[in-house]
Amino acid sequence: MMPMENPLLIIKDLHVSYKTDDGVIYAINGLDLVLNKGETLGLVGETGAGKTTTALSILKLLPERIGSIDSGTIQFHDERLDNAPEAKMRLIRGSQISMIFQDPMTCLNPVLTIGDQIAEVLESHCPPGTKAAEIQRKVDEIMTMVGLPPDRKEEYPHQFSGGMKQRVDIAIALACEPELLLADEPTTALDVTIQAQVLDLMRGLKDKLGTSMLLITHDLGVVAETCDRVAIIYAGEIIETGEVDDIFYLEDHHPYTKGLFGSIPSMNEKMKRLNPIAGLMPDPSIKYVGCPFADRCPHKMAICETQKPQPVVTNGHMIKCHLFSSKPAGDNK
Amino acid sequence: MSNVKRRSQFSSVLHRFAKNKLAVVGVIIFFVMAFGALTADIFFDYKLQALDQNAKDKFLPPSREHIFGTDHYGRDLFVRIVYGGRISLIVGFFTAGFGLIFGTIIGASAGYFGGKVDNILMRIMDIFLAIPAMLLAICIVAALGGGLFNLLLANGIANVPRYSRIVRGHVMGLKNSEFIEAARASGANDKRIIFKHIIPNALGQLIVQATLTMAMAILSVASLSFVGLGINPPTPEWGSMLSTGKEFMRTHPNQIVIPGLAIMMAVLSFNLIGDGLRDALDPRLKN
Amino acid sequence: MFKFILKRLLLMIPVIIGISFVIFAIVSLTPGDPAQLILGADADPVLLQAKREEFGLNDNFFMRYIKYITGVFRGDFGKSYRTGLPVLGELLLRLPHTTIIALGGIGLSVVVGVPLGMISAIKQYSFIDYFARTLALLLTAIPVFWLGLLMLLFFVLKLRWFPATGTGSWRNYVLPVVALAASATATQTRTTRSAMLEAIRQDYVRTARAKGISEPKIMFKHVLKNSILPVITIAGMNVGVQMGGTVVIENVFNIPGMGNMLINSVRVKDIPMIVSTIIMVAFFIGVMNLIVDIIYTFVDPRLKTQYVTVKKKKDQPLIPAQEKI
Repeated sequence: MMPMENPLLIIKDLHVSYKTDDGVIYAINGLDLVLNKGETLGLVGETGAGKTTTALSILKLLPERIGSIDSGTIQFHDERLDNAPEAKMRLIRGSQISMIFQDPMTCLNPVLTIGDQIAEVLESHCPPGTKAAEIQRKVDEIMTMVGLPPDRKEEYPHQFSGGMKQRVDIAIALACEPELLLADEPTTALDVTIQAQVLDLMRGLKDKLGTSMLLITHDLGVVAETCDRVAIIYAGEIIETGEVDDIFYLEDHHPYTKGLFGSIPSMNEKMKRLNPIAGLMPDPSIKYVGCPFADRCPHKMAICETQKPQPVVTNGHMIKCHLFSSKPAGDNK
Repeated sequence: MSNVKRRSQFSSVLHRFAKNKLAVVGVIIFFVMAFGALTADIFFDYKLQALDQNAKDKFLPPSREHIFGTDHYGRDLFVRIVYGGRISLIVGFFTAGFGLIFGTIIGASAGYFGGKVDNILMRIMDIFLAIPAMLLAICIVAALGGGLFNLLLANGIANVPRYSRIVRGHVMGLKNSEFIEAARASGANDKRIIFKHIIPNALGQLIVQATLTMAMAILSVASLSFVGLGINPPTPEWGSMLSTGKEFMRTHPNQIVIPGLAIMMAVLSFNLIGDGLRDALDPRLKN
Repeated sequence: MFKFILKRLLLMIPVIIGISFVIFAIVSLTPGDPAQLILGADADPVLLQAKREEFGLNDNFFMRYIKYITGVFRGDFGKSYRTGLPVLGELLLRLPHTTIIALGGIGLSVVVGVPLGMISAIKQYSFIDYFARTLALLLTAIPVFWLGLLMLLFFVLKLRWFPATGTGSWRNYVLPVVALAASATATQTRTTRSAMLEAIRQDYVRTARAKGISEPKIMFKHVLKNSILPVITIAGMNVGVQMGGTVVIENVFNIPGMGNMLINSVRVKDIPMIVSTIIMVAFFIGVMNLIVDIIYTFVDPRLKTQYVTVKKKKDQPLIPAQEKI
């Protein structure tokens, strides 16, 4: 397992909000996250928890005029990204940090050839004066690597199936061999069989290129198969992180994590019924005091309503819950 | 659809509309025009002030008595503009209403019955659409002669295809949807399904189209009257006022500036209202 | 592609038959006797009868229509009631004026409207955006003939930059073209702007940004190429509007085009002239739409393959093998 002392990306106390016509939406509320070199970190949470916003904040691709980073820092290597100028971000995007989006159907430009769209990212980041033939050779190489026949590079996205398109997205994302890959639910839009193929492909390429990966998903199966560490996000905060084994096998968990596991069917245990978490996430247009999960929590205490829980770390396993504030996390309740 | 939900949707549309400054400007222009058209007879004497010639007062410059001045027969331009507004409003509402009613009937039948009915009706509509509305109106006027009623008919007919297209599209889209199936299963007949379930769904788009039609109809009638195929003098219609005014525009530019501005404001008002409604009904489209 | 064009041209025949029938019926089956209109209200009944005979007005309606339309397909558009001259000759004499004004108007509206809409979208909420939007609002609301009159008053009568009448030089066409282009420019600007904004919102633009592509390249390569379709569509649709607009513009500037002739023909119910003018206009619009559709296939690869697959179908399996991963 990866030790903590080799961080590639450190996010500290990040606050992101969207200013819409109908008011302000507080999407990220004090998020802390560390991603180490070579590691795959699973970012898990339900829809609207702020997973995609986190990824977009890292690349500073929040919707213009609407989304903004209000406070906090994002550090990549030794550089601050949160206040980096656009020109610098442009150089980082696609070369050092790249992103795979959720829906391969809409992420490729319908009027440009596949080859052109892969070549483009190379052209943007290659040293000036790189020959066109060299770029084309690289396009062929990367297409082969992701399992696409290079002779199809003159074709357009509509001539490819969903799984093929996702391979094109992966090719684009990995073309410049980035250090960090942000994968936003890369398999959600695909058929189950193709999901497995794409995940295998990503895992293989990640190992081959030594890329670190932030894998955004709500699928715990994908997490178990792919990730080294897991961060559970709820209402724009990380409420629990740990090694995959910590999350899957330890007894102590944030009540939300427990609920999350309770809401998926298990093959091994006989379960009478699933236990979905009752209630909804707090209204993101209101800044809450206290624990965001309080309203849905079966173990709610008086303090939960008034005070934010502080993270409690035991052997690298962090839980942000008042249940564990008073006693070491290793203890049983 | 429950009443509560519909009301809240209506009020949220209204709220979005009211937040749109340009749309509010459009509404204000419209109300001023409508107020003038409705109350003109209280303040003015149509025959005396808008029609009767009075040579000694001709081409008076704007003054407190005649705020826009007078025309070549000494008639008050302001009064004539107000009465012209009445004609424009009638034209706008009638054209939109005509298109709305007949377009809805044709489009709904085509979409609902499908097959041969659809094919025949829509091919006829296509033929009408292939002729520019202005030219079609000219031909109808050629057939029936000028005058307000014939102009209304000409513009009304020229606008039917657009509405039938919209309604047909909605009917086709909704015909097989689940809530229509449910209505059918619960014993609603065809007519009821169309009018209770499908038309309300198309209403938003139809209202927007109707507002834009009013603008187009006002322009169209003014154009026809301008080239002498519409409403003829001495009736105070804006287009025909422009047509007479152009003889004197060199020495008395107000003769063309005033009626032209009136047309422009009227058209602008309906365009602004239409745009505002479209944005309010479908905020996604706003940009 | 050639097959496609031929097919489209052939498909125009029923449309033209339909249009001519509708117009022929509207003008023929309504009260108002062309012979009476031409000879005047108190004409000699004998002369009237002779005129009716000459125009063939005594035949039944369907006979007259069939005689007319078969003539059209042989290139004979009949004789004008008003002038007694062959309609086709008259039309061809006037067509160039109308074509210059209409195409000039379209061209100008594209040349001005597209860049203006682009800048407006790229610099959304900037000063130039507000300027373009206000301009577009005003230009849609301005009556063409009023704009024409104002320009006539200002540039011809006051400043004397352009000749008042005549058709000899290009200077005669400047003002009509500009006046006619006004409203088309407005729609072109608005369409271009909203198409660009729509494209900017698409996921593939976010992908392009995530790739680190520079903003100008994103705009010109990714966004513009995707928004060109509605832009062309509107340009094509404007052709019809322009043809309607030329009628009034020719009237304002005294240009002996088809529009002016139509107005004169309408006054005396010159049936062959009216129907033939409309056929001519419909044909013109049909050809312009065809050109628009052909341009589509060059812009959008999805449409191109539609036509290509028709050809390829024979030597390809039903489901292309590459479709599967």
